[in-house]
Amino acid sequence: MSKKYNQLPQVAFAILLALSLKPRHGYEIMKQVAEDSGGKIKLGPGALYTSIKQLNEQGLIEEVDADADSRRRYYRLSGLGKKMLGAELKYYETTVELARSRRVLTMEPGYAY
Amino acid sequence: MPTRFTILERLLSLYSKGYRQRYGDQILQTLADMLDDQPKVTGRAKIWLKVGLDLPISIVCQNSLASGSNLMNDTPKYIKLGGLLAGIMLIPFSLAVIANTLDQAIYNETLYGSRLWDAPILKTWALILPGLALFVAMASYILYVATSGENKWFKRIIDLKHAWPVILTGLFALSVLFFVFFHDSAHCVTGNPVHEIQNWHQTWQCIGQR
Repeated sequence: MSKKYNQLPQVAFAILLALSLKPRHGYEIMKQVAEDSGGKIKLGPGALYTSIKQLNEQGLIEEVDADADSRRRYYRLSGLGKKMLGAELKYYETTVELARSRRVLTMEPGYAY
Repeated sequence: MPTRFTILERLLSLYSKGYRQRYGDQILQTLADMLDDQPKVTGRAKIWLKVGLDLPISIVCQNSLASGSNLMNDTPKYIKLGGLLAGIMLIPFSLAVIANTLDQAIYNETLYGSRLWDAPILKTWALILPGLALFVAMASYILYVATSGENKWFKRIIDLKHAWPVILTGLFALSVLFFVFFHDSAHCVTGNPVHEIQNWHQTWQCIGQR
């Protein structure tokens, strides 16, 4: 597995996943991220737009053309973003399969050997 | 935007201009959406609490990133190098102060009785290195101001955005020198800091003997 396939931070991964179905604006992304993570990732507006800016600069998401006056800007995955998300999911899939084959998932919490 | 966001708008002004222009309205709109979606007063209070914690952290992070980006992209190399050199030269003094503080705390030594004070390296860390650091920082800063184009020198004097590495280290070095000269240990000869500096050679010897 190449190193670049596992470089997405957790929040970035969650935002890309939230945008995988359709373009969304800030609050929709926040809600989707919270829902997808079972409430474990709750972003505030500051943290959200810090991540959005980074993802935008990295070319993983892009702003959808919208009315310039609108305060709600919609974001969608870029081609590169889709590729990165796919690679990241593939990595997790492989990891989970490996964990299943080792029966790690059925172990008691804290059981290591 | 309603007046309920007045404080928030002031807070947003702490973001860098580019970031504020791009995302400021979106942040306010997202907050408005969050509040509109929460009918309960307690829920709204939780949102404000969350935003109260979230935004300051974000502002610090964003400004740090912007400063880092400015430093990497727009700041002249000699400013970076000057700031770095001056910073390195101030490390021994900072370490010595920490060590001396620990020495005092653990062994209850006074400044004069501490091991550091007897070390021959004292003069170096206390005066020469901060003095050199100040020189390097000042030289870089003066070069930065002097190489500005026509009528831009005043803009460069107050250009904290790019010159902060040398301004910061220069001010620190200056405060170190002030501390050293105004500290009672430096009042060996006359007790008057100005006269001490004027008679620096005797002061120097006196400090060494202490």
